[in-house]
Amino acid sequence: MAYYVGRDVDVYWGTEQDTHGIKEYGGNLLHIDALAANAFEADTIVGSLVDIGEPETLLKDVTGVDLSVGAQDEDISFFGVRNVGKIEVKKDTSITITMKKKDRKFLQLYQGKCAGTGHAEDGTSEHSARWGLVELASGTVRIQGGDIDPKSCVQADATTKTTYGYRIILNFKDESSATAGGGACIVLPNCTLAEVTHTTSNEAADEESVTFTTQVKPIIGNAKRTSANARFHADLTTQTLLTEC
Amino acid sequence: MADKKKEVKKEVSKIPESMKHYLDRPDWNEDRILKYLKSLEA
Repeated sequence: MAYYVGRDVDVYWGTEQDTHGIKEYGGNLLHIDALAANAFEADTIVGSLVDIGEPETLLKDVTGVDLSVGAQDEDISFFGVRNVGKIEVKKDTSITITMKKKDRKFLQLYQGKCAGTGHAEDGTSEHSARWGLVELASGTVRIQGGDIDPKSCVQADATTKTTYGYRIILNFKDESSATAGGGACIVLPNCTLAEVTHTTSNEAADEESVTFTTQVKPIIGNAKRTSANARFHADLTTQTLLTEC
Repeated sequence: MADKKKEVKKEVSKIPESMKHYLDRPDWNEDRILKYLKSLEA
């Protein structure tokens, strides 16, 4: 596990769908936010995959980041063979971000509810938004209800690309000059919003800790951006590829 | 050939400024952007 102080790193995040985010709207319900051709609104909670790196996608007032990178192994031993084989089954990465609490947006994502028609996956249920977005048909993007297997949670016009969960980019170092690369970051794709906790204190600012987990292999990158302080390069914000089978 | 070029130019001009950066992404092209914009109108 690695611990970073908030001032040492920048944490950016977005959905895994390249045109839509999530916002809080009418009656404090979670709504789909079509962001590709529109600007961020005050009520936008999380931007789209393509937007990651824009100032609005930066988590503010971060006090600490706990990153745990690991893998789950399967031990295989055969009778008569002295060495035990270790086979990696999957990656197991989690990140806990502690921030000074400013609003209820993370709580809304974690235990709030979606608006029905046009926003919730089944059009009626009032589930939360821990599992990101799903595209049911071309252009019909909805908030996932947690009942679709991540590998079946795909882009409608490209069924080899998954839209499951959220993407976190932990930026350790900015690139030396715009578009030059030379920075350092780790990308955690397809994260599930696993836990949101709140700490109330009478001698410090109230804090919230948000934990994301993922079983997808992290990407180590050079934090290349499209221009200074703008969105990250497409290589860092391209959806995870699946196989058709 | 000249007509075809003109047609393509016309389609690109339909793409709003805020979405032009999608053309730099390997998985997006003019057709996909126009299809997406059409889906927003529906």
